[in-house]
Amino acid sequence: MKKRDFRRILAGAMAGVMMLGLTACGSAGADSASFPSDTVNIVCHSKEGGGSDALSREVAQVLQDKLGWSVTVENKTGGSGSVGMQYVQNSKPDGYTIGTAPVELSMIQALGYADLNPDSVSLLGCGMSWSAALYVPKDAPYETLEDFISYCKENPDVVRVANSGIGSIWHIAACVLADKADISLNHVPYDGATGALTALLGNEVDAAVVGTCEGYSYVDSGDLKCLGVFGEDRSATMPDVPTAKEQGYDINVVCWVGFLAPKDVDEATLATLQDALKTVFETDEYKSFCEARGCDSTYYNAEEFKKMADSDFTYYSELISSLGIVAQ
Amino acid sequence: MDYLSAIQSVMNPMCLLCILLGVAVGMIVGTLPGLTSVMAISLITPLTFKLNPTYGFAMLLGVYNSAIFSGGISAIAINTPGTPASIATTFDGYKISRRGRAGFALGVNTIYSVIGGLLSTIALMVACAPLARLALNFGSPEYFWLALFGLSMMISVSHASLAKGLVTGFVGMLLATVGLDPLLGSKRFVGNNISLMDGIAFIPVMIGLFGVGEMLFQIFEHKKEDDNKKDIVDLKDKERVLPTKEEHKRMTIPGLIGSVIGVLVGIVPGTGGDISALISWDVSKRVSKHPEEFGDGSIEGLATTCASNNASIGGALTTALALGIPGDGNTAVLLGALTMYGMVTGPTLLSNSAPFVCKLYIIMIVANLIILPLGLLSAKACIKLLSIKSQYIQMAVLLICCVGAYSMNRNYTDVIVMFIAGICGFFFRKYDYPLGPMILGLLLGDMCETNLRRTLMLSNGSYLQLFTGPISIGLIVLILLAIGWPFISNLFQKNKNKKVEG
Repeated sequence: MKKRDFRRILAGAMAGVMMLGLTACGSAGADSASFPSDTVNIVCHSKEGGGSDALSREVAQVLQDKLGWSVTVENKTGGSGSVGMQYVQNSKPDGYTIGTAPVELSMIQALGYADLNPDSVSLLGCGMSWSAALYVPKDAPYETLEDFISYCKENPDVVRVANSGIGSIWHIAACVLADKADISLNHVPYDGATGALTALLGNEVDAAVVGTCEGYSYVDSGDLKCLGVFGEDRSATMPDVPTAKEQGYDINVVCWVGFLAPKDVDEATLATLQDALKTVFETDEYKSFCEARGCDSTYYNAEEFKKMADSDFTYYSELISSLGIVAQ
Repeated sequence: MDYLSAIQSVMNPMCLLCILLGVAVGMIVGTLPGLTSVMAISLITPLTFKLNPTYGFAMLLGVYNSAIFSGGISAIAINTPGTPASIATTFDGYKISRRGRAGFALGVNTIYSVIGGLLSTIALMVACAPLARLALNFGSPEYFWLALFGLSMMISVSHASLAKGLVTGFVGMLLATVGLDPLLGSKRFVGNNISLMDGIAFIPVMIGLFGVGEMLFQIFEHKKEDDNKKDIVDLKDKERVLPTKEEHKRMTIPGLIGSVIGVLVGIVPGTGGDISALISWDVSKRVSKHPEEFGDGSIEGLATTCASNNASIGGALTTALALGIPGDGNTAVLLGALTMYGMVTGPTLLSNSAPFVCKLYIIMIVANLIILPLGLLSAKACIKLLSIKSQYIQMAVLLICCVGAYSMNRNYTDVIVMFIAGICGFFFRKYDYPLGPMILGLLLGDMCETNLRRTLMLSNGSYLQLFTGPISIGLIVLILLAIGWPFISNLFQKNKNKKVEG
């Protein structure tokens, strides 16, 4: 009660400043100075148990421990992440509701699932990403990406490639591979990266395109071979595996999970949120969290993140519509 | 040698306390419909990073085992499965409890859950690596046949009338088609509601059909139910929690069947306690000497489902530990926790982290042993709770159902879905349409469709692919047996009669 009264007085005091021409509305202006004075809610787009859920909880924990913020995590799932993201998009732009921004943000509009793209929200920053990679069984007759591609050229439409679900980022990655290498693959969707890898381990398919962090333990154990990583740099989890670029193919598909806020959050609050996330992403705690999961913890600030999301959006939209990836 | 040191490190007060805490949390979460074990485990996981890995995992495994067990408590007491793994427990458990023997049913649930849990832990300890390889032999054709085998059980779970059972069963399968097409990604029956894109959420439908439907039935058909058989049972039986020797004798074989099927089904990724308990119920019914009691308060049916869903935990852990493949949400979070403790999950885990895996086995055993006294004590308390006036119970259950349906995904569509399902459940109950087939259709329809179409995609349209492979053939034989069983058993009966006459 007292807190609220205090805020009102503060708001009143600020009113004079407002008159000088600040367009921000009264209460938001008052709040931004003392942000956050209340609990911040992180809306996670995926279910309890997934990687993004673990990420949200880790970030919430570190925000609490390092900055003394009070943070809760709420899961709003469905529609390839669009339910959660649209919830944040439509919530009050006071900075107290933020959410996870998965790579699907750059895809769902083209897939026709929801009217949502990187321009519909404010991106805050990203600190978790991992590249796609091509896996084949240990006894497969190819050792390099080149071998694989020439095999596919000799046997068009024969090679069956498992992915993590229709319209998922790894499905797109396999399509990019086919597109850039000019080969024709038989794409088979499975239930998540786990499903795709299980099918490959059981020899139901000839290859699988999933993330580096999802498959590296099978490469370590010798059950699978990885022919190439579809990222800018080699993955720390599989330092011996060359990137596609090193092998002469410009394939770059990266899955990322960042954070977003609704549009129209005032500048000061936005900056506070961005700085807070930056602080989190730079802690050793957070870095070891990513490392344990086999992910890359490179920090992208709001601008870099927006740039990455925008370029992915442009490229994937083009690809999805030209290849007819999803039946409408 | 690993085991000795593992026992030492688990048998210390702090670790035991962690398991006990986990079990207590699991009991609360498991009993409340809509709150699932996955939710509880992922909420607790970040907290366990502050403990040492053994203590952390002790707590998580405590939650997992106890949540699956206590899902049966609400299935028995209020006809609402606390977790999907307890759907089959409602078939007999609730009937027994309506006859005034709730304490006994809860006692059986506790004892046989623990037996199932312990047996599956032994399977896990003895044959983890070889059993897990079984999971890799399960490809799309095998999943298709397994789903079809499950669907063939529509016959045995629709005891009142086969025609009515098939009606609800196919409605269930039809509802399972809502959402994104699994292989093309196009929208089916979604309209503009993005909440429906992932399909009709299963748990709200389950809570509605069973919980809300039953409560509405009690409220509106109050007079007919007034003279329920509560008073027939004398006080001694009402208070009794432990089964007698004769009762144990009848339940031993179904309990074993449930455990074995639980482990096997648990190993297969993507299937778990819900499907294993349904299959065990069906199999136990076929081998039982009293198949007519199944679905009408059979203690054998109760025992087999209780054992089966807890046995599936050991099976699921088998695949998760030996191959790093999480078969469901629970094992996915557990594997995530293991990586956070600095272990590399995957095929190398068993050899690289052998001491920790040993500790994990011991924790499983201890967790089950802790469930036993806690479960039996809570059964006593439950009897008292259930003697509250039924109006209050009905209101409380409806409230719990609403909260449960909402908390699954925090969206209101689910609550609406739950109420629609509840009204359907009421009419189904009133006109004697069985719920079992509908649940089977909802649970397996998608698995059946996706895997059939994926098989054809893999084989370029050739149906031959479906009939190769030993597991496929085995499952086909099982399906034929399941469908042809009434005829076969009739033949046997006739032969027997002839012999007697001759």
